[in-house]
Amino acid sequence: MNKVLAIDIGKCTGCHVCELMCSFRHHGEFNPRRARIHTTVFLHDEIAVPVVCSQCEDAWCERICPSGAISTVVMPETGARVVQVDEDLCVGCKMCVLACPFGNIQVGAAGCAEKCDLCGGDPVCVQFCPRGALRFVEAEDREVEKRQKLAQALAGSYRESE
Amino acid sequence: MPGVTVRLFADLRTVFGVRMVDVPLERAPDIACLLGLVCDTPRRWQAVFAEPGVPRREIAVLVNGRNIRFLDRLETKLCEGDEVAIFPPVYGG
Amino acid sequence: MTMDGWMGKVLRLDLTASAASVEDLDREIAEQYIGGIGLGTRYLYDEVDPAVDALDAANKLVLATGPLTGTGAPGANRYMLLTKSPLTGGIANSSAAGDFACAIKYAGFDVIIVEGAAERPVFVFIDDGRVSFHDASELWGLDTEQTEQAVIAATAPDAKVNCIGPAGEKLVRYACVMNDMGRAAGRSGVGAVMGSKRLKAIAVRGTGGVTIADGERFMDAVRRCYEALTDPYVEHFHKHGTPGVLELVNTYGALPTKNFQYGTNPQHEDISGERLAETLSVRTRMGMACPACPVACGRVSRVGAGETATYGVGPEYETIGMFGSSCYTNDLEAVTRANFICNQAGMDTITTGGSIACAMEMYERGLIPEADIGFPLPFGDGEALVRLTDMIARREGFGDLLAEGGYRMAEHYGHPEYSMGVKKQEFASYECRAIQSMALAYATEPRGACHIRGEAQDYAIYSVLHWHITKDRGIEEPLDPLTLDEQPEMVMELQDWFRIIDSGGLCNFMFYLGMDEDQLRDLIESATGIDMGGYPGLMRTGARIFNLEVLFNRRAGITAAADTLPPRMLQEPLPDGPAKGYVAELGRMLPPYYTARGWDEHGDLTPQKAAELGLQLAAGT
Repeated sequence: MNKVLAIDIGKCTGCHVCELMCSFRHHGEFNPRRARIHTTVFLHDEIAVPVVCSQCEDAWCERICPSGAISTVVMPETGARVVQVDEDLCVGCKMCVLACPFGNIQVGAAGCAEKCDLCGGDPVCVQFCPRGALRFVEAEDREVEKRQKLAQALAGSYRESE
Repeated sequence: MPGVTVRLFADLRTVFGVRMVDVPLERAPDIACLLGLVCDTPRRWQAVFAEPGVPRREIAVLVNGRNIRFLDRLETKLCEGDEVAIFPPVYGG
Repeated sequence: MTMDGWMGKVLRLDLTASAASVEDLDREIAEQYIGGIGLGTRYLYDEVDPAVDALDAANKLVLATGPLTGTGAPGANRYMLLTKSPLTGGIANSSAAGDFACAIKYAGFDVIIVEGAAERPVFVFIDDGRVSFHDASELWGLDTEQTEQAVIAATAPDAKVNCIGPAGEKLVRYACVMNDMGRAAGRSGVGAVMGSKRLKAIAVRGTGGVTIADGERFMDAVRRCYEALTDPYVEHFHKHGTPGVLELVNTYGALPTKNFQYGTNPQHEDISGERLAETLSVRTRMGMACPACPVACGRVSRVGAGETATYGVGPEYETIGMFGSSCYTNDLEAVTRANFICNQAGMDTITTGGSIACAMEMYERGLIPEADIGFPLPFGDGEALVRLTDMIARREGFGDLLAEGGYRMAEHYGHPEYSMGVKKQEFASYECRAIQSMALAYATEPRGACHIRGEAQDYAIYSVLHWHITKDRGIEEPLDPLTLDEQPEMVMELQDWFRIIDSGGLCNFMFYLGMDEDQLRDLIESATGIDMGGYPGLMRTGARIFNLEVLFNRRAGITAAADTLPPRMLQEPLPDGPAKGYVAELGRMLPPYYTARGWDEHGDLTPQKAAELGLQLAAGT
C-alpha cells in the first residue's frame, strides 16, 4: 500500500473548500492563506489547479534542513509517505522554502515550517472536495487509471483514423 | 394524429433519448397507462418511479400545466390533444 | 473582547473627509441581527434618515457580511449591500457571492459603512487594517471588468474588488455593484448610490482568518450540510444552473410573456436552458464556483464567432425570462448580448428587461411615440433590445428616461399601470397570477417586487418540501400554486426564514438543494457561540429583521398602501395556460397576512408585536 493525494485538474471547480478546511484543521481558523494546499483559478482558460506537496521520494526540503526537523515517515495504516516537520526541532531558517521547487512549504506566523502532512492519513481536503478533484488513492491505481484513460483516447483516435 | 403529447425535460431527455413522444389516446387513457407505456426500460422506469404505482416524489408530471398531484394523480384521465410534461427536479431562478 | 464567527469590527469610510475609522461590533446587536441583511438593516435604520434623497451624500451604503461568510460551510460566501433605494425610495438590499465578500472578513471586518461623498472619483483600498483613498478619475467610464483589472493592477494581485460600471456612474436607478468578474449585487439600485458617492471601487486584501467558537460542533454541522448536498439534483443544478427551470415555469403558465400579458410563451423552446446548453453555453464547470460551494451553478456563454466572439458570465434564468420572454425576443443571442452589456455597465438585468418590456407594450399601444425612442420598439425586436440596453447604460436619448425605471417612464407618459412591478421595482420572471403565493410575496417584500427574499415559488413549483414551513404542516407534496389556503402564514414564514439565510452570509441555493433551518442554526450557533433559542428563536430573529426593514420603509413614507400589485394582476384574468382565468387574489391574502404578522389593519406593527420581537428600542416607541 502506498496511498497518495491524487489531483484531477479537470474536475476542480476552484471552490477553494480544500484550502478552507486545511487551514481550519491545521490552524483553527478559516484562512485560505494559511492552507497547505492552494488552488489557482485561471478564469479565462477555464481551468483551476490545486497545488500541494507531492511528498517527494528524495525531498529537497528534508535534505537541506540543517536542524533535522524534516523527516520522511511511512504511515502504517495507509502506507502513505509523509515528509513531515517536527515543530520542536524547526528553527524557522527557511532553507526548506528556498529548496522546494514547487513552493509547497512555507514558514508561517508561528515561525515554523508548514507543509501538507496528509492530516495524519485522512486528508480533510479530500473529505470535502465536492467534485472528486482530490482523492486519496493507491499510487498504482492512479497510474493505472491514467494509462487506461490514455489508452481510451488512443483507441478513439485510432478508430477515427480507420 | 392528435393523441397525447408527452414532453420530457432536462436529464430525462438523455434517459428517454427523445424530447417528445406522441401516444395514441386508446393506449394511454390515463396517466398510469401513459407512464407505464413510456417507461419501457428499467432505466426509464427508475427515473420516474420510486416503487410500483408510486412516482418519485421529486418528479413532476403535469397535464396541461397542472401537476397530477392536484388532479387525480395516476388516475388522471387524458383527452385528445392533452400535453403531458415530465420534469426531473429543477430549482433556482 | 474576541469574537468568533464575527470579526468584531466595523470599518467606517468617510468619503467626504477621505478618512477611515474602526469601531467595535456591538455584540448584543450582532446577536439580535446576526449579520448580512439583519445587521446591515440595523445599521441603516440607526444611521440613515429615511427621508433623505437616496442619491444625496447623507445616504449611506452598508456592506455587511455574515458570521459564516468566509468559513468553509457550504455556500457561506456572501455579503449584502444595504442603502436607501433610488428606485423604490425604501430600503434597498442586494447580495452577491464571491472572494470579495470573504476578503472583507479576512481583512478583519464584519461591516463596512460608506458615508458622505467624494468630490472627485475615488477608489478605496483596504489592505487588512490599512485603508487608503485613491484618485479614480482615470477609471471613471471604464466597464466593470476593466475596472476590476485596473484596480487590482493598482493595488495588489491578490486584492478582491467590487465596483460600479458606467451605469452606476450615470446614476441609472437600477445600477448594480459587480465583484469578482461577473458576480452582481443586482437589484434595487445599490450601484447608483455608490455612483452618487463617486466611489468607483473598493479593493480588499485580507490575510486574517475566521475563528469558530465550537470547532468540533461546527465541523460536525458542516459535514452534515455537505452530506445533505450530495444527491443527484445537485449534479443536475451544476449542469444546468438556473436556466434549467424555464421550461417548468412555462409549463405552469408562469413565464412572463410580452410584459406579463401572457403566462406561457409558444416559443419557449428557443430560450430554454436546454437550448442554451446546446448553443451559447461554453463553460459550465471550471473556475466558476463561488468559495466553498459544492454546486458551481454559474456558466460562461459566447456570442459571435472568431475574432469578434465575446464571452461573459450568464445568462441566468431571470435574465432570459425578462429579455427573452417578457420582451418576447425569443432569441438567446440577443438575450446574452443584452446581458453582457448589463454586466459590463453594471446594471440589473431584471429591471432593465422589465422596463424595456413595459416600453415595448406602450410603444405597441401607441402610448410612446416612435420619435421619442428614435426607432421602432415592437415586442420581439432583439436588435432594438440590445440597442436600448446600451442606451440606458449610457443614459442616451430615450435610454435616459428608461434609466429612471419602468415605473417612472410609464408615469411620464401618464400610464404607470403598464409598469409591472411593486414599489417601483420590476417583477422577477414569475407571473404571480399563476403562482398565488408569489402575488403576496411580491406585494409585501420591503425592497419591492422580488423573488429571492422569500421564495414563494419553491414549495409551489420546485418541490422544496424539507423546511419546517412545510414539514411542520404535514405538507409532503408541492402546494397547488393556485390555492390560497395557508399562503399568508407560509409566505410570512418564508420571508422570515430567508432573513436568516441572508444574515448568515449563505447562498439560498444550498437550502433548496438540501439544507434546512436546523442545520443553519447549528452552523450559526457553533460558529458564534450564541443560542438562537431553537427554531422559534430563529424565526423570531427573522421576523425582527423583516419588521425593521418595514419600519425603515414606513419612516421613508412607504405605507401599507404600497403593498399592492399592478391592476393587470388584480383585475385582468390571465388569458392563457393552466392558470387561465385567474387573477392575483391579493385582497384575500393580505388581511390574514397582516394578522399573522401581528400588524394592525393598516399594516402597521403593533406595540405588542414590536415588544415581542425586541424592537422597542429601534422603533423608538
